[in-house]
Formats: sequence, structure tokens, C-alpha cells
Amino acid sequence: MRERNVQLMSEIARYRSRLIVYVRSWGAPLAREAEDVAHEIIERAIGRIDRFDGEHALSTWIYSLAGRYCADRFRQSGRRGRIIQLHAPELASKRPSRAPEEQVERAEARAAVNEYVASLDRTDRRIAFLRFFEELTLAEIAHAVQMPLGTVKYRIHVIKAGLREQLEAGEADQAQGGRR
Amino acid sequence: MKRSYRDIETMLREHFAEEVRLVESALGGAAAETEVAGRRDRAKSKRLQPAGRLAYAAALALVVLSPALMWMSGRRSGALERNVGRAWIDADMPARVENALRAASVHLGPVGNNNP
Repeated sequence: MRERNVQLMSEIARYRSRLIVYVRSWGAPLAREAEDVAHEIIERAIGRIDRFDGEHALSTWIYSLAGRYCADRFRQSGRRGRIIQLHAPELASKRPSRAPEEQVERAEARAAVNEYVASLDRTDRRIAFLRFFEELTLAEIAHAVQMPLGTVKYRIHVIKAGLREQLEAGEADQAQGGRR
Repeated sequence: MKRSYRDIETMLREHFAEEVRLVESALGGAAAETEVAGRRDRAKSKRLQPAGRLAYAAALALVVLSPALMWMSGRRSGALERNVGRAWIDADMPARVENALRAASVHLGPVGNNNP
């Protein structure tokens, strides 16, 4: 039991950076604050390690706990922060070089995705993160965000359709600008 | 250009992965910075101030020299006692013993004459 808990604790500690990104979607625009909240969530998860029954995956359990914690925390402070997107030019520059047109195209698409994700509401952003980064199943996401399975499924469809529409609209604008 | 949902999913995956990578690199930089600062602080706190250095040197000197001083003082006082004792025994023994016996007899009275 003790060995299991120690192993779980080390796994929980690895969620730090992911939790920071997740917490930011709750309206913690300052990176420092998101870091503090993520740290508090990890502490809480470790403190309640005995309650983890293994019925769900560890990630589902942590995000469910994080969801409840953030809901309380940001309800108390009445925070409705706007999410500030992070930019990583230094990471982008480390990628293998491509043809200039392709590079420009990719950079534009990335900027559009950044903008789109920033414009998502907090719930959709959380769902998108759990689905596309953590790759949780729909049932796991439903459990983590405390929503019906059908709603989660629908929200994911809306998120994808919205991004596709935004990208196509951006490309259409560029094509029109090029013709003029 | 019509994009498939698979492409859209890939783009979202890349976006979140990049965001997490960015946070990780920021955390890594911050952790390294904190570690360097901590090491610097620890080194600084280990260094003694001038008054501390003086006190430390005095304490060290006392610890190192005290056995030697004790040994020397013990040796000297022992020699003195030995010399004094010897002189006392050699020169004044009869007189001192006599005086002591006289003083005792005055105080206690003559031995054997308690019941005349």
C-alpha cells in the first residue's frame, strides 16, 4: 500500500506543467498564480492519495480534483480572467527547416489556432485540453468536468468545427487579399 | 483548402503540446535559477563576518592550547608542592610536630589525666 502511494505520488508530481496549463483555462492569467494553484492541487492530491481507488485513470482523478479545486478557488475570488496565450518563437525556431511558403503557412495556422483556443470559453478549453493533450476518453472527460457524456461529445464536435471554420475563413480572406 | 477533422485534431494536439513544453521550459529555467541563487546564498551564509572569525579563532586557540596550559600549570604546581613539602619535612619537622602536639594537649588536656 505504501509502495503504491509512493509511486502514485511521483506520478502526480509529473503533472505539474500540465496542471499549470489546465489551471490557466480557469482564469488565472498570471503564470505565477497558475503555478501556485497547480502546486496546491498536487499537494491536495497527495494528501488524498488514499481516496484514489483506481476505478478511473489517475489523470481523470487528478483533473476531476483540479476541476473542483479551481471551481472553488476562482468562484471565491470572482475571477473572470482573460486567457493570455503563450507564444514560443524559440521553440518554433528549433523545428526542422521547411520551404519558406510552408513555414509561413504553418506559422499563420499556428497563430490562428492560438487565437481560436484563447477565444474558447473556459469549459471548452478544458475539454479540448483533456481530449487533445491528455487524450482522455469521452467518458473520462465527462467525469473530470462533471458533465453528461453527450454534452462532452457535442462540445468536442463544436470545438473542431469552430476551428475548421476559422481557418477556412482566414484562408479565404488571404486569397481575396492576394487577388486584389 | 478544406481541412479534415484529423488535421484539426493534430493542430489542437500540437498547440497544447507546445503550450505544455513552453511551461516546462519556463519551469526548468526558473528551477535552475532558484538552485543557483540558493547555492549562492548557502555559500554566503557559510562565510563568517570579521567578528565571528575573531571569536572562532579565539575559541579554536583555547581548545588547542588549554590541554598544554593545564599540563604546564599542573606540572609547575606539583613541583612547588613537592619542593615545599620536602622543605617542610626536612627542616621544620621536629619543631612543627612538637608545636602541633603541644597545641593538641592544650586543647584536649593532658592525656591520661582526665580522672585524677
